[in-house]
Amino acid sequence: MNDHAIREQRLDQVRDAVDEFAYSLGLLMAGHDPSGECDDDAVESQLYKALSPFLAGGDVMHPDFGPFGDLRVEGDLLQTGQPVLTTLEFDDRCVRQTPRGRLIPAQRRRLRLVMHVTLDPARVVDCAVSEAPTRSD
Amino acid sequence: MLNDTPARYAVILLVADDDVAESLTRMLRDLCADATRLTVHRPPVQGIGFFADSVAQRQVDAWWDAEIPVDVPPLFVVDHSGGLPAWLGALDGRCYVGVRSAEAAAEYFHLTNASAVSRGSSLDYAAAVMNDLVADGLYERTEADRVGLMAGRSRSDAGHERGPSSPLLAAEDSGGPDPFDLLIAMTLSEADAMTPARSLAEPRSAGRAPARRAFHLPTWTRGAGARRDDTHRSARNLADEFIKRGSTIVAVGSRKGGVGKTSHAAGVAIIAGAALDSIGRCAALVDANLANPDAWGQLNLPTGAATVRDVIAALAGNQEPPRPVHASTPSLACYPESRDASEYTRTEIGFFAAFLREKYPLIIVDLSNRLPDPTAGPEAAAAAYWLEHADVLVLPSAASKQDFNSVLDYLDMRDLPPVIIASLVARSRRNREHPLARRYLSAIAQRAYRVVDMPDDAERVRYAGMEGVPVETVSSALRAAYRELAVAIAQCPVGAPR
Repeated sequence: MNDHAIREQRLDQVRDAVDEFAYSLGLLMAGHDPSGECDDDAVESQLYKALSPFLAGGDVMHPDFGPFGDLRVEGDLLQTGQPVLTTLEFDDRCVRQTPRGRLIPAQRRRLRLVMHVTLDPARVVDCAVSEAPTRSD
Repeated sequence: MLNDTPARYAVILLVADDDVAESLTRMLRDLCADATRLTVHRPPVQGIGFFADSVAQRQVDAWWDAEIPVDVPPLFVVDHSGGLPAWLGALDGRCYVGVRSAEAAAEYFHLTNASAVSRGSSLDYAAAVMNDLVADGLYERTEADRVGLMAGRSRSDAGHERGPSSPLLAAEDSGGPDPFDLLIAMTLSEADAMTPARSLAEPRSAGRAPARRAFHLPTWTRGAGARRDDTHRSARNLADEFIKRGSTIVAVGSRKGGVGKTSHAAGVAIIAGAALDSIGRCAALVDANLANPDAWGQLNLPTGAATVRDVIAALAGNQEPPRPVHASTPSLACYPESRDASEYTRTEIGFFAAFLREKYPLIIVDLSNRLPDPTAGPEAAAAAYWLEHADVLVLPSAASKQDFNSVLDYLDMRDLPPVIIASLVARSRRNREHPLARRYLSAIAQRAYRVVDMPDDAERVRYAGMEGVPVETVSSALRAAYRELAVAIAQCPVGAPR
């Protein structure tokens, strides 16, 4: 397998890892246990701890990250010793449901997840969340 | 101004941005107190072209005749563009025009039927429309104010970078902090504790050229529940099939308990609801299991949710039915049964079925563990009445002699709609390939429209119920099976002889 093929294969693996991670994040926000979906318990615990004030409030979040996101991968995909830096941007279209059943759409904004992803195996080992400029900006 | 107009409205979205239109559609529909009096439409031509494009007028006229009822006043939502004010003055309907400057807003001041909406985001439009329709009872004042508050905050945020105080702002107007604000605060405040995060707060620029490619978030993120590997297109296709066949009532029944009837009903309803969400519609799940309303405990609905009994009582009293609660996904409306439900008459079920057909393209009804019979007690009678309205009957079956006989008893009934068998595939090869099981399945398959294999995840489903995890997330195989079941329902013959 030549370098180009390896690079493409690892890019796909990184994308799949981010996919899994975003899925786990959605499950966490919805109040579910993502065990088995998220490879890294430390990251999951970190996210769970951050979300605990919301989860304890009694509301339920219906995760909706929009139909498309932008993924940017920076780093050397041929060197497995160093994680690559990945940036995922997507629209926050989540809907909050109160205990009385009322649905409250989230404010429209674009969010950025910046993650370190190891390559062998491909998995997210750290994550930071921030707001991104909206695409119209 | 709208107080004197008729109490039904058609909102016509002429905004150019599909995302704004989709978001606005969802807000106006989800928050509406009476969805039967408000419809939201997206015409084939948007912007000023809807009024001014002479080439497209024939297409627009045909669309208008097909979509907009004669006596329903339209509410136009449109972005500002040069020349638009001249067209709006002559319109019968009210207009909400998104503007981005004071100069543009001034062009509409002289028009009595137009409002300039600052910035023109979906929140801004929704706040303006909802505010005007509060007096007609289409929206609650608190909801309109809440959306207005969110729109104002969003406008403010567009001009000012958000800081760590965001969670507090969110806490004030929605009862609790926003999850993403908490995660942002975590990144800002715990950078010292998590060394890698410090370097992650903002993406760095690297000397190496970055790889960039379109990344398609899985459709399940649009509402927890849809299958993860669904594409938006396949969800849309499934939704289109449901829309094409018209409102469909699916009865899920079994003479015998413990075959996963409620789990199957919930699973397929969640999958179908998520698909319908892609076109701004919603599915409904109805508990008709009078004998065992506790079975719905696995859906973890909030206490105090409006029950079937509440809705039927309101319909019988010619009152506004209470709004349903939603479970797992906002695109699934749930009607649980009360624990002290007594019997229902044929007329009551008929009213309720007609009410549901008006609101939802797909209604899944979880019947009781009785063979439908109007003369055999309240549970069997309710099942019989629902079956009279059902367009499709789903019969779950496990691989046992009792289960097979239970299905055959159902199939012996007269005037059944098309039947789909949800057949649990035994885990052991011996049971799967047992000659008797194969003979039974063959006999059943000949009398059913279709047999859909379901993985035997009963134990995991049971634990998921105890842990409050939606059934469709138990396993990818189960999600795939629920989706196949939903597709089979969508493809069932319409109006088959009974």
